[in-house]
Amino acid sequence: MVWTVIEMTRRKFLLSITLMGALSWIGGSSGLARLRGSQKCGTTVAEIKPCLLGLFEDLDSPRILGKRYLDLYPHEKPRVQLLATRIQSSQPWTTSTLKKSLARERELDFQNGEVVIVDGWLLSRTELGVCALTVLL
Amino acid sequence: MFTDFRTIKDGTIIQSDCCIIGAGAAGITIARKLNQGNQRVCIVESGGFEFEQKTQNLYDGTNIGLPYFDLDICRLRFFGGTTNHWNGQCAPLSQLDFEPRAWVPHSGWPISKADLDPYYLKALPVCEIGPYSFDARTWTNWGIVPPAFNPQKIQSHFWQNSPPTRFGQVYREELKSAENITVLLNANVTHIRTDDSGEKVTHVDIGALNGKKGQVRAKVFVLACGGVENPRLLLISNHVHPEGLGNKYDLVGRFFMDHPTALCGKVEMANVDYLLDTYTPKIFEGIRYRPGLKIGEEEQRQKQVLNICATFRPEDDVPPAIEAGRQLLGALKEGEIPEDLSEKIRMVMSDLDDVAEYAACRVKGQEKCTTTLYLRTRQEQAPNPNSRVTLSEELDALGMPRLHLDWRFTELERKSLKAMALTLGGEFGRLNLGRVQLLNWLAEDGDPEWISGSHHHMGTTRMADSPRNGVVNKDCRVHGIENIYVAGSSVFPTSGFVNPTLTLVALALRLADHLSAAR
Repeated sequence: MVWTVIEMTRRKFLLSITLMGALSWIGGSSGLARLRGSQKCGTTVAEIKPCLLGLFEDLDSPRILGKRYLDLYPHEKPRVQLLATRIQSSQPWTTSTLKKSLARERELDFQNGEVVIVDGWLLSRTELGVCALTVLL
Repeated sequence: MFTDFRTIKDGTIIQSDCCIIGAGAAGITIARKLNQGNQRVCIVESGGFEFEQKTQNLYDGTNIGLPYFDLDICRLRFFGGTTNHWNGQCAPLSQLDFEPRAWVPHSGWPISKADLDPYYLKALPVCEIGPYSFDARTWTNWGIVPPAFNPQKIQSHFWQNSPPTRFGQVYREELKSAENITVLLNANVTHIRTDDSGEKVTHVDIGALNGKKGQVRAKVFVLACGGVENPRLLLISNHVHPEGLGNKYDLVGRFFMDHPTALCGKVEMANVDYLLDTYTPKIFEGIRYRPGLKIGEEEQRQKQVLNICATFRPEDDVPPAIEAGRQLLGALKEGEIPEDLSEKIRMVMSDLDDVAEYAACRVKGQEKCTTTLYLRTRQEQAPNPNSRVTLSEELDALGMPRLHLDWRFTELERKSLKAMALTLGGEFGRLNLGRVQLLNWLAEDGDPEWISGSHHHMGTTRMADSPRNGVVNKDCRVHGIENIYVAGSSVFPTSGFVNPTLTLVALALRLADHLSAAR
């Protein structure tokens, strides 16, 4: 199974795919739920990077998934970069507003069929894009 | 009245108004209904009151198509028929199931759901279920708020579980005491005879495994032997029509359908308890309901796919690391060292957090210790003339040709299965209920795996307005023959995804009304 080839345990994968806001409605079981407070992110790449990375409890998983995504779908790299640009060009974020915005984009992705299959998993382009940004930024 | 055909005089001719061949759900239902009038009814049943292997062997045949169950285990051949071992799941077909759909070749019934609805209502008490509650409104009764799936894509569906009604037991006394009903046990119809014109059935030849022979003469005949025996008897009865009865256009036995089931994927849940609690079967006012998910009609139209449903299967979910740990411990307890010891240790070590969480959960005595649910689908099969039963050269103990079953899929089944997995994946993702992973073969468009049938035999004497398109007309009368009808799921032109019994009982009640009115 491809899964074991890329040495990604299911647990790590779970953490990565449930990155965003994801679990804002659950709480307790994810890294997001353990985010403390709502820090300001700024608008530059340098300022936003720690915010994005801060969405994750463990960076290994999103990096593995992001790399897998870019390897399988290299033509989607511009789309990922566009996501980064979009984040930077928006109003100054806090971790809280960034999380909510990405969660909303994820929801719209699934609603509009903006999904990608990675090793059988049906995932939204936004959540994969955020994972990919952990590799690219 | 019950009579053991083996014990009566050889060559006996029995006269009746209506001869029903087969005492399963359809045959018994029609007989009970006709008993409310004044018709003399003779039911010809191959078996007795109990299972007998010699009789059951008469069902034996050969699968020459896709892997399928042995034919002699699919149905039961004694009084009560297959209701002697059905699990009782009941639900009606949907309105769209009855309609012609441009993307489903050979689809469309000559009757609508509205035609059958009154009979669905009457079929509920026959199957000891009710009220008529099979859609999302059922949640309201329970005070449960289900996930807010987009109803155009995914809808709630409910099955009601019959106790299950063993027709041969529940209605046995009623038939025994019915003055106008004779049930001939251990009597096999070996040939359906017509007059020389071939347009009217005069009698059926019957035989027992002990060599006894006889006839049943009647004004009207109803074939109610199930989805493979109904076409078999029509094909065998070729003394006037060499191609068999009702087979002028070579349709008898074609369009064999079952309900393919498969695991289409798995969902890693954020809230497995909520989903399991919501979709676990529930008892409400004495009836057991089983909730599930079905593809929305809009989604069927838009993606041009077949009807399909999904339920959750948590029980098989044991992560590989945990399974390896279990096997390791089991072997060590027995004082054995597994051959692949290092591999098992490696697997356990590869996912220690899963193993630890699972172990802690079990220690606490909890039953739901997994985070994965499998998605099990059951789907409609596209009507396909090349999926069929035919007579073989081999003969059974009564000298009758056995059957070949050539069960086939079309690309539409695979397309529909994948569409369902993707639709579920989209909705689970949108609602953040979890993420769906398609099984490898489905994701990669490989050869189907994990697909099997459901023991539901349908379509082989399909209903259509024209004899060029079907074997029976909308009254279930065989085209071109004035007095023989077919009851059971063999008349279904399409199958939906629901278990066929409730629909075949509704159709049987409708046929009984027709027979009473026509008399």
